Amino acid sequence: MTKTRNDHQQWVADIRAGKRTALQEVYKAYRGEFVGWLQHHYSCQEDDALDVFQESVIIMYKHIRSGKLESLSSSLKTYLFGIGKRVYFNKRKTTKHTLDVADQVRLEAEDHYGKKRELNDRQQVIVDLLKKLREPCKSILELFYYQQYGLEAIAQSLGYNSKDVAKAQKVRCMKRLRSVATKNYKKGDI
Amino acid sequence: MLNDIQKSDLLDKYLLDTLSTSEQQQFDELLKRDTAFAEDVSFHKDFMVGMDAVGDEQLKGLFQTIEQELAAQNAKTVLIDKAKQLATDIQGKVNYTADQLIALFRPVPSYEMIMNYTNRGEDLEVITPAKNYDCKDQVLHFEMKAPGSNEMTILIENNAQEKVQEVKVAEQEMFFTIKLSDDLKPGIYYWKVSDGKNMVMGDFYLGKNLLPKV
Repeated sequence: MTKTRNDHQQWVADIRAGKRTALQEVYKAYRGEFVGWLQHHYSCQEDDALDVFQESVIIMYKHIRSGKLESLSSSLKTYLFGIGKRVYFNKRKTTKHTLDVADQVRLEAEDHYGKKRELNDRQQVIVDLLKKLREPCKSILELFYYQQYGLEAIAQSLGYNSKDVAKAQKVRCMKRLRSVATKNYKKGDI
Repeated sequence: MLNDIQKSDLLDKYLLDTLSTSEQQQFDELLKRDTAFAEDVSFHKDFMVGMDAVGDEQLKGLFQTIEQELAAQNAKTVLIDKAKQLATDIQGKVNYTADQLIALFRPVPSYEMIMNYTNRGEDLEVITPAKNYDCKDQVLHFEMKAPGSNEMTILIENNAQEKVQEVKVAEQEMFFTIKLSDDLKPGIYYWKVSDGKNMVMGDFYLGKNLLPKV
């Protein structure tokens, strides 16, 4: 069934509110069409098209979570496909397909889209520590810095009495993480 | 002089890109003269990159689960689609004579002229489907360069200039897909996108493999 503009806006609101089911719905709704579109019109292999789709969903997700995307002027699908096109062209880094001026300008402005992230040694140490992090630090840091929840929402979600308690816990978690990371930097002579 | 909590708040706002102009100035000042703060900023920047990588990995894990679900659902559908396609191909070869197929693939001269003349639209502009698109899966993916400012109507016509399908698409949509009816015969078809003010058209083939070689 075709989604209306209101359905799309609801998806944005739900993702903003942290409902993973909404993100899953968007993924399922446009996965086939998106991959088919890249395959048909840009001669993209299916695996590459799926990579582009997943990266595009992540970017869209971050735009919604950070408030960069609040209200839609078209549909969420148009927004997602627009990101996808930029991710795809950035991945290709080729002039095989002719880009119009507007596309080139957008690409230059947002050329991080689709680029492979390379971590330096310190960042890799932090990644390894984050993966081993225990509760409540794991949730509190992820909710605040990745999901970009406010402290009020985190306090509610994790059962703290107030946002000040959540904030104090977050600060303690960061201090502990930094201290362990610094020790690991020294161990590895970074 | 800021206390530790105030510094931490300022740093969080910097990391989440929510500093006001005056806070940005305060932040820059602090960064210049407070070495401990500068080190803290440096650690937090690395932390944000790391957190981003871990968060993305978790999302990809979620996508992997969805992919497994979809694969299980699609396994059946793929088999059914293959059987349908085979039946359609066989039916096409059995059901149509060479003359009938030539007639089904005969272009409409007036439409060909319009397509050449309008150069795929001006105010309303379509990037894909490409001209003479060979549609193999009964699906047309539209990408608009300039979408309609009003609700758009997409008409599909056969080469007898009969409407075989009509779809409405919301204004300003840049990407949309038309699932073509399964009972369309092989042949040349035309799509017309109109927003009430402008119209642009293009052509595509169904069952192009049946096109008689003359």
